[in-house]
Amino acid sequence: MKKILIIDDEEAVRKSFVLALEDDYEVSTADCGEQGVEFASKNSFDLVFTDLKMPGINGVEALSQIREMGQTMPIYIVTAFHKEFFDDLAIARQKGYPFQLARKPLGLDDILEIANAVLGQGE
Amino acid sequence: MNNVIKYNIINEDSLVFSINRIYQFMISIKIDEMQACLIATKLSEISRVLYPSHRFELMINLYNELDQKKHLQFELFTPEERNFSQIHAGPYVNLDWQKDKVIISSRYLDNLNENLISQNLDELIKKSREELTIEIEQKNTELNAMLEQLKTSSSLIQTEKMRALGIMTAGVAHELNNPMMGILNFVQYCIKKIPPDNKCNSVLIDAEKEVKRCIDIVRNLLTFSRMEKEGDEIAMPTNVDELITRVISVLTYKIRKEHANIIKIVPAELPLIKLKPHKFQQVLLNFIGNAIDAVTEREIRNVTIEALIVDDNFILDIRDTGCGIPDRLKNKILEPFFTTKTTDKGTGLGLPVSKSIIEDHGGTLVIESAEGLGSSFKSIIPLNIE
Repeated sequence: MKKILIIDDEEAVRKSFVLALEDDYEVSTADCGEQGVEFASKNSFDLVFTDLKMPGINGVEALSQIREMGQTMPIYIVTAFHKEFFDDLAIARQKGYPFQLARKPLGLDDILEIANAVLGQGE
Repeated sequence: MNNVIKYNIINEDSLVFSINRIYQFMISIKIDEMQACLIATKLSEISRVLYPSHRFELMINLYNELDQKKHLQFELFTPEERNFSQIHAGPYVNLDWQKDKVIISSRYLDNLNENLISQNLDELIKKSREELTIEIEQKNTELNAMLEQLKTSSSLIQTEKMRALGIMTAGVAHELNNPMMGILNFVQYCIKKIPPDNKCNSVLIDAEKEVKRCIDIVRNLLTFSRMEKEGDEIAMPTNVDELITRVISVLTYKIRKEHANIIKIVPAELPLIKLKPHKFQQVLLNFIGNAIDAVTEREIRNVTIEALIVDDNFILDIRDTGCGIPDRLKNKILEPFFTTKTTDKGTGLGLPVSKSIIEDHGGTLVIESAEGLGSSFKSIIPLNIE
C-alpha cells in the first residue's frame, strides 16, 4: 500500500484526509512542520499533503527541508489561498523545489481524486 | 452738506416706519460707548431729552405734534453735548414736518474730533444692512466649510469602518475554512458508509448541501473583503451567450418552481467579450437569481436578459417585472448583509459582491427601478479591459 503523509496543525483537516484515504492508502499524520519533516526523514512516503500556514515552520519551509533531504515524492501544499501566502509560495518557486497547490476546503472525493491521480491507483 | 431723505407720512404706518428708522439710526450711533440721545425741540421751546429707550414716548410726542401739525426739529446729541448752544455742531437728526411729508436729514459725527461725515440716513441703514449681509454670507461660507469637513470626516470614518470590517471578516472567514473542511468531509464520509436506504442518508445529504453553502458564503465574504485574490482570474474573450445559457441551466429548478419566463435577447452577431468568466458568472447568477425571486407571485413573471454593445461598452441588462425597489431602499440594497429575503434565500452579500466584480472589470452597475413595475440591473463594461 502506498504511503501518504499529512502535515496540518488542524485536527479537523487531518481527520478529513484520513477518512478520505484510509481505505486505500497507509496514512500518517503530523501536527506541525517539524514533526512532518522528522517523519519524512524516517520513512519513505509516496505523497505528502502539507498545510501552508502553521505555527513553527510553515509549509514552504517544511517542503524545502524535505526536498533538501533528497526526497522527490509529490508534495501538495493545501491552502485557502490567503493573499499573504503568495510571497511564501514565490520563495518556494525561487528555490526551485517542485510542489503542487490544492485549494482548501477540499471534499472527500477531491482528496481521493488527487491521491489516485498522483499515485496511479483507483483507475 | 447733508443729504436729504423724504418720507411721505400719509398714515400711521408711515409715521411708525419713520420713527423706527430714526430709532435704528440712534442706536447705531455709539460714541465712547455712550449712546446718543435725541433731543426733541421745538424752535421756541425748551427741549425734551429723549434717549433711545424712550422710543415710544417719542412716538407719542410725534403723534401729538402731528396732530397739531407743528413744525419740529429733532437734534441728536451725545450725553455730554446737551448744550443748546452747540445745537448745530453735534450730530443730529432733523425731521422737518411739512404738510404731508416729513423730511429727515442727519449729520453724524463718528468721533469727537469734529470730522463731519455727511451720512444719508438711508445710506447708513443700507450700509449697516450691507455689512450685516456680508457678515451673514461669511458665516454661511464658514458653516458650509464646516459641514463639508464633517461630511468628509464622516465618510472617512465610514470608509475606515468598512475597511476594518473587511479585515475582520477576512480573518473570520479564513478561520472558518478549516472547520468547514472538517465538517464537509465528516458528512461525506458518513454518506459514503451508510447504506443508501437508511434515512440518515438523505439527512446527511442535506447537511452536505448546507456546508457547501457555508463554504460559498465564506468564499464570497473573502472576495468582498478583497483580502483574497482567488488566483486573480484573467480576462479572456468569452462567449456571453454560452455563459448566460449555463447560468440559466444552473437555475432551472428555481425557474420552474417560481414559474418565471426567461427571455434571452442576445444578438447572433455579438462578438466574444473580454471578461473574467468565472467572476462574471457569479454576477449573472446573482442578478438572474434576484430577478426570479422578484417575480414570484406576480401576475407577469418576465425575466429579460439582454446583451448588447453600445459605443465602446458591453451592456448586460437584467430586467424583471417584479414589484420594484422602494425609494427608501435604493441605497441600502448595495450595503453588505442588507437583505429583505429570508435566511434560506439570501445572505445579503450577492449585490455588493456583484458590484465589486463589475468594478473589477472597470465597469459600472446601473440600477433602475419603478415601484409596481419592476427593476433593471445593468452592467456596463468597457470593451477593452486589461
